[in-house]
Amino acid sequence: MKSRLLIFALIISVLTACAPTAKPLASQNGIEIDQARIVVPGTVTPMAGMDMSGTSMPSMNIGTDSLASYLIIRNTSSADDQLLSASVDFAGMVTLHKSVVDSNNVATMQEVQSIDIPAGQTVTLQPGGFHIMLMNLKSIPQVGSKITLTLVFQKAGTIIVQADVTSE
Amino acid sequence: MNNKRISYLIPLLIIAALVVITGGALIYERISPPTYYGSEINPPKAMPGFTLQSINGPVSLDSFRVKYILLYFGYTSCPDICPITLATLTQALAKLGSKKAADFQVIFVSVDYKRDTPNVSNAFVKKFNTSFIGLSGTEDQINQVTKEYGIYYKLNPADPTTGYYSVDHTALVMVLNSKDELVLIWPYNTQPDQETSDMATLVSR
Repeated sequence: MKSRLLIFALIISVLTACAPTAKPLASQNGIEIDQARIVVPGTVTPMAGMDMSGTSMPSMNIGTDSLASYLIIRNTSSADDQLLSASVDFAGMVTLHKSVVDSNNVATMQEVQSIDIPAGQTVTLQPGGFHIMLMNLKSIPQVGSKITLTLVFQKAGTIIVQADVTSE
Repeated sequence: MNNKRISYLIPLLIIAALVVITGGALIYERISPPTYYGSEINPPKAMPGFTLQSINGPVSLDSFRVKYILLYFGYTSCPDICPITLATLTQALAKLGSKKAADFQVIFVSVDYKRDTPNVSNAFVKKFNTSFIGLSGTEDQINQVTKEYGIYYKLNPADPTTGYYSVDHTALVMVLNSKDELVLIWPYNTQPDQETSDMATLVSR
């Protein structure tokens, strides 16, 4: 009997460990935000013996004039909502975009005015789909740092999250 | 038959079966044509040479003396499709190992002749892998190379407030052999493991 109880307790503890009990990054008025990240593509891999100490970040990032941000948005409410805009302090302009690769392998990108977050559904902003596009960059954030990302929803209002800066 | 005999026989049978299976598999691999995750171009298609701009001045396809060239057309202000493709190539080459990876040269050609100078194009790809080479070209050079390589591109109208414009473009990686022939195409979203496998097959031929 004792061993049965032990096995039962073990199963329960394993099940709860597997369940997504982690709190979302932010939650407000039925909208939950998770896994927010800003991607600084690639990483400079210095060659052996190369002294990187005197290298300033902006010059290392020639060719970066836009960055993409991705996140997961869950609408736990019973009302449809929309992501209307986003902002970060280091970007002069932020727009919502959708990338599409068609059957002929042609990649196109369209600006969208808003992203629908239907009631009870999860919308994932991810590479090859919707993304938040950061432009007119004043600086390039360091990979590994955190950036304050402000999101504005039609119904849920303004939600502020800390987005991770990642290389991919 | 007693138990002792059977105990001798079983390992022998297992070894014999393994020899037959391994031998058969090896022979099959030799005689069967190689299979690729990408689209194989068979027979290989001869591609015209090109002249484009590198950070060290004009370059042609003949300037690169490697077994295989991995050619990709894109633009540096591309927020996700181009970085994904270059990151995938970086991972695939890392998995292949540096010895075999030395047979492959990644060349990125920016079709965005208005914004991307050779410096911008080259700096963009170096962020992924210092061995990658980024090229650019004049409007005429880009029009010619994209036409000859079957690449579609279009510079979209600039946003009136930001001046930013996106570029529509064919997003696939072309694998050329040392005879400037197109042998393989990786469509968008080909996975690193698949590219590694294809490259291992190419160098083993």
